[in-house]
Amino acid sequence: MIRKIQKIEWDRYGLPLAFVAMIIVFTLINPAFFSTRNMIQTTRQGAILFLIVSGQTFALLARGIDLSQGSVMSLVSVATISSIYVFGAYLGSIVGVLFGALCGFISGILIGYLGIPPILTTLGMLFVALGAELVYTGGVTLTNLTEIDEVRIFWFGGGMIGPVPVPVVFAVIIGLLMYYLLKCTSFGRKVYFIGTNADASHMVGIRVKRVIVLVYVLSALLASLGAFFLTARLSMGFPHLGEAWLVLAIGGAVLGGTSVFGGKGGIWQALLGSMVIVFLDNGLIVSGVSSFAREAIIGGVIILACLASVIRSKS
Amino acid sequence: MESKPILQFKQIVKRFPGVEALKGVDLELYEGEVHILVGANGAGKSTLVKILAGVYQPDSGEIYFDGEPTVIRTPERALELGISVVYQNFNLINKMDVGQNIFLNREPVRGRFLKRIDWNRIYSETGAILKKLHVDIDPKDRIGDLPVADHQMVEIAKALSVSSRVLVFDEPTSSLSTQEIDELFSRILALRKEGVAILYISHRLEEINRIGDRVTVFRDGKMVGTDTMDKMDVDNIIKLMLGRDIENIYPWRPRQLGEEVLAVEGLVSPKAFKDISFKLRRGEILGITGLLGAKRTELAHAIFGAFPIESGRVIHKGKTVNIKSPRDAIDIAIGLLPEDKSKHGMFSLLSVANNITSAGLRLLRGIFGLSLKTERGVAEEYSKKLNIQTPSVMTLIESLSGGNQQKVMLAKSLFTNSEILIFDEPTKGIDVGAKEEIYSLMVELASGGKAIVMISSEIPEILGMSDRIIVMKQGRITDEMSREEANQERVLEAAL
Amino acid sequence: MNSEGSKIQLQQRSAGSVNWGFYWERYGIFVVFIIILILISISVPNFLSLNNFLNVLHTMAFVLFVTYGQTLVILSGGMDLSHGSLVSISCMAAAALVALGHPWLGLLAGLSTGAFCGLISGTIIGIIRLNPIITTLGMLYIAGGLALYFTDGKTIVGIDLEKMQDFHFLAEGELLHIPFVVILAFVFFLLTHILLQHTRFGNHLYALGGNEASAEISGINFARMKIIIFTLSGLSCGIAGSLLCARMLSGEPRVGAGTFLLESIGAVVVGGNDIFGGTGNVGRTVIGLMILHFLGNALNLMGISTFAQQVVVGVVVLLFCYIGLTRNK
Repeated sequence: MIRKIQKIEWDRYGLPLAFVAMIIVFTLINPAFFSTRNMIQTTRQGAILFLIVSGQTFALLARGIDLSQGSVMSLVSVATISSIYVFGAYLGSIVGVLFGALCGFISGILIGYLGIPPILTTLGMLFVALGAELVYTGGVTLTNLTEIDEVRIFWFGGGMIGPVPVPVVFAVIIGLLMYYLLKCTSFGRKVYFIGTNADASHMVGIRVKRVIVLVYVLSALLASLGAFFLTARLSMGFPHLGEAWLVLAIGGAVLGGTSVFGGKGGIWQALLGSMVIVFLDNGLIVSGVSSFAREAIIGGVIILACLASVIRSKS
Repeated sequence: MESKPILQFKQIVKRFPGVEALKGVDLELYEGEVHILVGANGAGKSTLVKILAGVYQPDSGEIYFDGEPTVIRTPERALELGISVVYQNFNLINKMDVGQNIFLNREPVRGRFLKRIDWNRIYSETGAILKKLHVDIDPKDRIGDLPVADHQMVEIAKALSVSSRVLVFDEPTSSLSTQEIDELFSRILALRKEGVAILYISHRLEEINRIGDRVTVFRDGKMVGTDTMDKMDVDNIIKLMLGRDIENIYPWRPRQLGEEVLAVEGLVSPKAFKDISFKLRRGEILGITGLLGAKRTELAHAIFGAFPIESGRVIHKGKTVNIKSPRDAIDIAIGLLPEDKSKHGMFSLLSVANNITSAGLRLLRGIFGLSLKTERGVAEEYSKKLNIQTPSVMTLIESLSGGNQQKVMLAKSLFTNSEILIFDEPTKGIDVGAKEEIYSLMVELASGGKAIVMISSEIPEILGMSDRIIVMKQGRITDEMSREEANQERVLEAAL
Repeated sequence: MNSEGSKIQLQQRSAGSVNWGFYWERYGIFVVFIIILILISISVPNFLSLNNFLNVLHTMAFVLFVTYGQTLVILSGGMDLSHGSLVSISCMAAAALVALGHPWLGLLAGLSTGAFCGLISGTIIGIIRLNPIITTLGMLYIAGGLALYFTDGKTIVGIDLEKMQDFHFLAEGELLHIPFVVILAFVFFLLTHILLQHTRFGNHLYALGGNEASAEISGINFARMKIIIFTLSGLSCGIAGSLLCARMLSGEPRVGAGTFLLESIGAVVVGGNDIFGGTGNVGRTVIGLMILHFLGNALNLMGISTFAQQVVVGVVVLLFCYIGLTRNK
């Protein structure tokens, strides 16, 4: 019996199994957890986290990290609503998201071409983006969209296509695209190479600098998309939007199995990690756990995940 | 030499998960002798040293020190006994100075209430040790600012300052120039005169008869032969190391040479090399040799686009080309097998297949993107052609032996249809058996029309394999000779 | 000794010409500091008054403790991102006991809380060898959450100034016109300096920062060092948190959530310490913090908003990071 347990590939099946177990436990505690309404709500949140975690995954795979995702999200929220004031709902949204991508582009150039370590660069970008949008808004939430714009924009964040929330549909499509990008294109392969050995990557003719810029653009872009859906639902530009999401982004990526040392991980891991976090959080809420305890629990889970990741990579 | 050994190993056994590194080793070390340990990589030499240094514990067997049974449980205990090791990779802290490094973790303190570090004592004692060794280094110099050869001296000073009964050198000469090696040897002989017992580990057979009193050969975790230096000759040693006879290590045979594929004219890179010009023909094996500091690797990387060139021309098949990055070099069918595999060549966490195809992702493109099926097929093809020993092409490359890893590097360059192959120290760190295979492959490729540049610091290898030899010294070409004209003296003269 | 600028660099120049590189590396930051002070004095009228100076030093003193801890961590090759939350949670712990009428127990509680959190971080980093950045980031999150959970987000009040005079004095009192807390900060500066430069522990700390692998082979106990270092770092936050409690006579769970983290790392970097560790000293950190604070003070006096100040500080830190990096390449 013990031998059989040892034979199970825990690495691969451990987390999905834990996920299922978790859902069962929460449903037992409070059957409302498994209600359609709750599930749909949670997947909506999950879709957004999945996008952000996917972005972080790119950075991690390339042996980097993107600490600026949270602030960029706040920046994009503010920029989107401000742009909508000027350009209307659709064009404004695109402009807002592009602001986020721009931050990623700048980070990517600093990291790829100037060689500043990703931790420092994105930490700096965290402060610069945060400071910039706080100065711009003075800490005030942006509201006052015109009715038309508000209706248009709300659909993206709060609307449904059949039984499925709009963000989930988008996340699925984007997720598949990103999966394909990583597994089946040379760009994706190059990301893994660079994360494994940047020097050797250069020696086999990979344009490392270019790939790195793209990696950080993607990381910021995906986070920006997440911010967009959140903002769309709120229909407000919230300057503190992204604060809570950074730790969840890194945690979700590592929890799912992506390594902080680069070269290991992917979109499937991002999906797994983000779903576990989101359902864990929701489950705790439905079970009546206070918000501060929840923060501590999720923080603890993330640290355990990182521990496991390090231990795994050492053996 | 004393009559009683200062150190005795009796039937030492050491196991690691999956492998028995030492299978019952007997060894005796006397004061005032230089005892050489030779063996192929993985034969167990380093494990034995680590046991002596207190880093590992033997699973069974006994250690006797000064005739007394001893257990060396920790590195501190080894130091107490007077044993210290100078490792292959220096263990110095670049940001600190010489004195700090020598007294690291043994800092003398003074004062009654607060134990403060006695910096004065550290620097004065360091100065004394350095003076005794005739080393001209200031104790307050930062290690990071000193040339690499000085690091070796500081390591020795550190070892000596700690203990002076048994000194172990683990492959000390791999980063040293000939001159530095001479200095090291004279120090070792001086130490021997003072009665220090010296254990010297090396696989550089050409050096060891200069300082060795006795030689012990290791193979597969066992001692297979021990005798005094004069009774052991190189062939004998190799035979013991490999367990078989080696007829002709260098499978060179004459072949037809084709047209000129590469010409280099007046290549200059400041602080590296100057006035480099040579030609390369199809089917040719061009050997480039020189001592440490001759900047051969820099030259190779420069041709490959990984090192800056200030002026000069590179002419490929009659046309002047501008190689600015490795991508450019690969595009015109040049392949490089770098000296430092783990840094520049391998993706250690990825599979053999991934590594083989890493330079030619373009060639894997199918309708839906990269074709994993094609990749696998390619990998298996090369694996068979080059006889790469691996459980599967999906195995991680880091679990392969050095020789097989080198073959994967070769496959990588062959996959991109390289016509010009630059081998930088192709057999460094590879044991004699695998070396043979690499040499055969090189000759086969040359016979098939590839142009090969072989960079090596092993003169016998250069003499044995090259059609033409270029000697470099401190960034310049000092001599060029054909195979017939070449001999050890001429090469050495040009290199020194 | 662990000072920068080597003699070899000095010798490499020919006799007769001065090696500027050597002197710049060693003393450059002082020069920069003086220049900044002069520039500010010229452009801002109220700057050059004793009152203003003492004010700035007073505010700075609280953060100074935290920077001492960060200096230790960074010099040993790591980084401590938990500083903001550790200050908060220590402040809460102290306030809890002070509100119950035990000021000195409160002080003890604050110190122990900070130290204990640091101990946990240090154990995870030292024994399990988890990346310090991830560990302390997690600690930031957990400690911050716990600080909020403790009182459900509410501030601890009800501390009577009358009864807590002595305790309050720690933070707001003066000795010979110098704020007591500044004197305390100076004392701890000396302690940190001696620890780093004159004890075996300090030497080993530098060794770890210089080359972890070599340090370990020389027998330096990685786990023990990291545990002590992070405990001290946590303790430094504990001191800051307790003093903040003494200052405000309340326990505010978000007290550390502001610029503590940015300033603690920023001061170390701006002062010219090597961000990868191994080189530098605590004096540099102090100068770095002074630069940041006097800059902030100047911006204040010029009427620039706090948010804008954050941006400026962030950019300055980034700039110095970049300079530091290119220098040490």
